[in-house]
Amino acid sequence: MQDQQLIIRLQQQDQSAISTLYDAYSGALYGVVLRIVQTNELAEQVLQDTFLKAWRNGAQYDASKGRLFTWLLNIARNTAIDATRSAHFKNAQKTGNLDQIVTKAGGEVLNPDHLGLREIVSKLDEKYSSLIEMIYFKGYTQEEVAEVTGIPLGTIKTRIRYAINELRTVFGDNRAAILLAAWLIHFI
Amino acid sequence: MELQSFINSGLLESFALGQCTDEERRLVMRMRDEHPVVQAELAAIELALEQYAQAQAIAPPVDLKARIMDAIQHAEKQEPEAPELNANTTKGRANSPWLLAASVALLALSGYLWMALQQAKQQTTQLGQQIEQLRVDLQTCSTRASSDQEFANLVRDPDTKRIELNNGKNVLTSIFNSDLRNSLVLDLSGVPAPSAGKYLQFWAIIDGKPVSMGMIDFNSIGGHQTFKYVANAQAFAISEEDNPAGNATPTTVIALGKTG
Repeated sequence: MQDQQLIIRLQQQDQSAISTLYDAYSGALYGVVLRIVQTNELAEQVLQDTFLKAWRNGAQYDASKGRLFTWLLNIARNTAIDATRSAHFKNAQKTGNLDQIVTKAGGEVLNPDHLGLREIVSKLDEKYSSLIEMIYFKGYTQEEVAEVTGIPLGTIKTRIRYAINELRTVFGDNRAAILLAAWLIHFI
Repeated sequence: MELQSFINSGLLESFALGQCTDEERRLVMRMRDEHPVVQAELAAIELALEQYAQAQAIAPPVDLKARIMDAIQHAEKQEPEAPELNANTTKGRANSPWLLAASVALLALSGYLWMALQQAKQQTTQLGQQIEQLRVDLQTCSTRASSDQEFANLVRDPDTKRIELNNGKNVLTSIFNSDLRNSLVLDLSGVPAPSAGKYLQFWAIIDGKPVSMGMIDFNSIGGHQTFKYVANAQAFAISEEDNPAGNATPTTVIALGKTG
């Protein structure tokens, strides 16, 4: 269940909503963005643009279409991908400064909760986690992934379903409870 | 499409990852709107991805938040809430004939609207009163209907004892006495109106003595009056009294009916 008050504030373009969203999601978003644009300088710019857009377009967030984080992630990812087309990024690529920065940044941990999550996630088989990374975080289409990796499209689709299922299990998703709740809602 | 195979198809995951074709997206949204279980699955998939992202979180520089909030405040100052107003402020005001005509028209319009509003308010009040009246009438009808129903049940019941009251010459009316239903009901339809200035009192004769059951009220609903039930009356009587509150003993008996 999402915070209804927060959603209302966001839709009213209340600045305090952005502050709350930043506190909740900036780390997760920064992680995604940094892995795409690869320098801190660009990542900070992208994050700023993301929250500015979120504030400007808050009225358009529709809770029935998905979670707040998904909405923010889409903005962040698109902004990041746009940034990679910029001259700045292309420059950084050429000078080969990228790899060090990513590994350095990868050492920072946001808060103790996430330590546990990282551990859990590290148990996920690489062939599944890399798929989620490429599609969910980096914004590649399944077709692009198929092209780049040479894995058949059908296999990719199956692996994604399996990967997300694994994630749900690993994060303690209680499927039976979901089905029961959904069935109950139907009858109320 | 069978629900479980739809859920297993991987379409939901594609949807959550923003990977669907337009047609697939429409299908998923339709299924989601029609089936709570699909909605629940989608929400769980989204959540799992969100948790995955949180697991990969990297802290941005500490001063970034302040910079972002500043940028937003700055942006807010430059974007007034009602952009249309900007257009008007650049034009001259008082001397524009067009503006004057528009104001007059607006004034006339608002006058008309005000009157329309008053009328509407009046109508609403009237309607409200009508509704209230209807409600009262309905209440009355309901009460009457259930009273009639009860009376009919009482009369039809084979256990009910019927006692006829007569004035020595004719049967005037009946009393219905029911042990089971704990009811003593007098049918008022045959009871004669009292002489001017007089009132009718109803009696039960128990152990040879008259016991007052109360004054007869011709306004009773449904044309019959219910009295307190008596188990062992030998007879019932109606008397005419001067006192509207009745008397300790019957003054002039105008009708009598024996139970036995």
